[in-house]
Amino acid sequence: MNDSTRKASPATFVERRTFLRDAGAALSATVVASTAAASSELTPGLDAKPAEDEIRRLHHTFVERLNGRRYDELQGLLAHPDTQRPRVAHFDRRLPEGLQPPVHDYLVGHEQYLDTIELAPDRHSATARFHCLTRMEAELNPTLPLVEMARQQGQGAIQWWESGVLEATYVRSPSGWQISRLSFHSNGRWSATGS
Amino acid sequence: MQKINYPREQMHRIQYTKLTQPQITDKLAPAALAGPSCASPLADVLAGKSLKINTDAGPQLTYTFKSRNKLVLQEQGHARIESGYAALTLNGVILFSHLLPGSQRGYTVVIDQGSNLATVMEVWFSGYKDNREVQRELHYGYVEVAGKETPKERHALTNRLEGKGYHWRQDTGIQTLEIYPSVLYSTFVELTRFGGELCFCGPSDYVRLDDETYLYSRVEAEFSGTMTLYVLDLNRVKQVGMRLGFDEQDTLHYYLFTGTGELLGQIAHFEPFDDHGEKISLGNRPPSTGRGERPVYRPLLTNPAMTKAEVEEAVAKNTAVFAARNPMAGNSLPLSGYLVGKELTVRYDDGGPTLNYKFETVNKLHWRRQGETQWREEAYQAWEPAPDVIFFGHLLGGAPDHDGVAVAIDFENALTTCVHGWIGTKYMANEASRKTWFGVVEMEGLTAPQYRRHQFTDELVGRALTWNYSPGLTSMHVYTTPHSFSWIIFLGGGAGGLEWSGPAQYVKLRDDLYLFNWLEEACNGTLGILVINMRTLHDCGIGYHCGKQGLSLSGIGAQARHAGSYDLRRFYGPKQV
Repeated sequence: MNDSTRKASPATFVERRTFLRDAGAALSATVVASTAAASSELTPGLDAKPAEDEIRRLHHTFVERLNGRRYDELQGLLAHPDTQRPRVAHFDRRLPEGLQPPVHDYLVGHEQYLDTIELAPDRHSATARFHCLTRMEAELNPTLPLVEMARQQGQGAIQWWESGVLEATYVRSPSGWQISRLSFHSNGRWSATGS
Repeated sequence: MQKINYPREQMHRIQYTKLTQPQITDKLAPAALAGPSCASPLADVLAGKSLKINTDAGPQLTYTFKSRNKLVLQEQGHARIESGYAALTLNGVILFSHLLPGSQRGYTVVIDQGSNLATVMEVWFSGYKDNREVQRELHYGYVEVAGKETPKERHALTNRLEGKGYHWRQDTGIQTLEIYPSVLYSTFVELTRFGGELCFCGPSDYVRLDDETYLYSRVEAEFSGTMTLYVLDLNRVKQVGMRLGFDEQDTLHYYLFTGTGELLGQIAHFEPFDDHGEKISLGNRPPSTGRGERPVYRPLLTNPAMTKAEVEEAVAKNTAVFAARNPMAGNSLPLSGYLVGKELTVRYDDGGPTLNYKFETVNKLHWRRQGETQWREEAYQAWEPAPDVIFFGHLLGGAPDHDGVAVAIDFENALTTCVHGWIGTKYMANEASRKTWFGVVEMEGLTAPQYRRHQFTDELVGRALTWNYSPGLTSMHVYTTPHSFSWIIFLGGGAGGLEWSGPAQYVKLRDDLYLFNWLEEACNGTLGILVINMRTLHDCGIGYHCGKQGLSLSGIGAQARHAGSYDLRRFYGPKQV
């Protein structure tokens, strides 16, 4: 039976996959075999693996474009491009005085053994959590004379490292999986350098 | 009779003629034929010789030196050209210079006779919208010697000069103070040409020839556009060089010079220890593609002058007094409540203001001029940079020129100094002016001194302090003359980068405590006022600025590091020449 409209079982369907980091790559989409524990929770008739593979490919594309600063191309991966700023960092938290919202950010690493993909029972939405190290870059207030001088020599920005959890939610559209929301939960550790 | 050559206008105020290309070509023509002049005997080391210089990705230059002042040059693929030239030597290095007749180009070539390495400084006019500004490109290469292998080494950019400062005395009688606090710029004080009141800055090159011999150049960009270039020998403290450009009378100066120097100090520089400056990292600035392209700070291009009407419109639109988000105050001292509840009068000498104050809260005061009955309410901020010394500032509401004051009060000594600023100079409507007043504070429990006052000082002159305002925002001040200073913006790797300078004043409040103010004249027009505590290496201050965004009075707060000092003070002040 393959009924995607049936209700979820009382136990939320959870399937975990562990990501392996490909040395030197920003993020790896390499997948280790699924854990045995997850198989007992499979909903009959719905195979999770194709959906997970597609989400992983989507995530890999997202990271590749983000790290390449191809922000315009990120829009096509988003379900609601008008409402989702295409950056990892959605900062609802205190930044140093004078910092503008980040203009660039990079995902540079995972603690893959903690990463998860949770597929909804109907396979129409999913949530993934990636423990990552990010490098953020934000411009300083460009109207300050000192900052203006710094910008002319390629500086005038601040960079910092931050670790945390990137949480991405996905929806399945007729054309495939898309990112419906991104949020970054910082663990608060950061160290800044001028640029 | 006067012997100090004070100019009618300082360098940043001179309206240099916008020379046309034909005017420049005409003015260069005789010098191209004759070669540069020189007050010292020329070297004849090249006379009768031929040499071929190959540069990496640059010109190939084949020279025949017919005499000690005539050469024939064949640039690769071009016809042979005869021109005048002149040469000098220093410690085994030959420097020769010539222009190309019929053009606005020329070469100054430095050859190390030991290694046969050559560095070619190609120069030209009319490469920027201000035609008179000398443009340059460095080419590294070697002299081709028959039977010898092509040398693998090259002269290279360096940070080994960064931090040094010299007094130079040329064979022309010209004396300068020159400081190299950056790998992109340098600071210079024209003791002879401009009377040594102010320092100025220009984009510069630093090339290592060997461990004791270096090539330096600067262009007086945004001013006359003149280039000064020289080889300097660090051990013997001697120089041979070339100067090319048009002065404020549009007279061409093209000459070689020799000089003797004195090392005045060496301040710290802040690159990683294994960074020797062979490459200059310009962060995310797009790679240079144009010939001679480099970062040049052009303050009036960045901050165009405003008209009085534009100033009034901008101020009416937005006046920000101590706005919340301000990265210049990221490392600010805490606001002080020392004044809250106090009533006092500051009385300044020599026709200065007398102001009554009542401080209601930590950010609200009432003031009036002595004799007025009406109090005015104003926002203010105050800090305590040293025990019982309070520094505060506010706008003087209702003043016609959007005046503001920054006031330092020493309650232990009942002394006060006020920097009174207003918007507008005879040069620019949005440029701040200032007057510094010395006086006393009167308050219940205080008895003001009759004679003692704060006073101007040169105690900071020669020192260099880095200032970290907030993450990613650090500069260095070099307090270069008693009436000016320069500031340097660091590159990503810690090297000094772009620089600029402005008139400044230094007031001693107490031992190791100074009230410093500067004007960013012919620039963005800012008046900055700081109290610098040399014991805590922390400051507090106020920036007063009018631009297209409106009028602002904002806090400044930064932590300092002492980068070192130069022995400069003895070069200033009235002297018997």
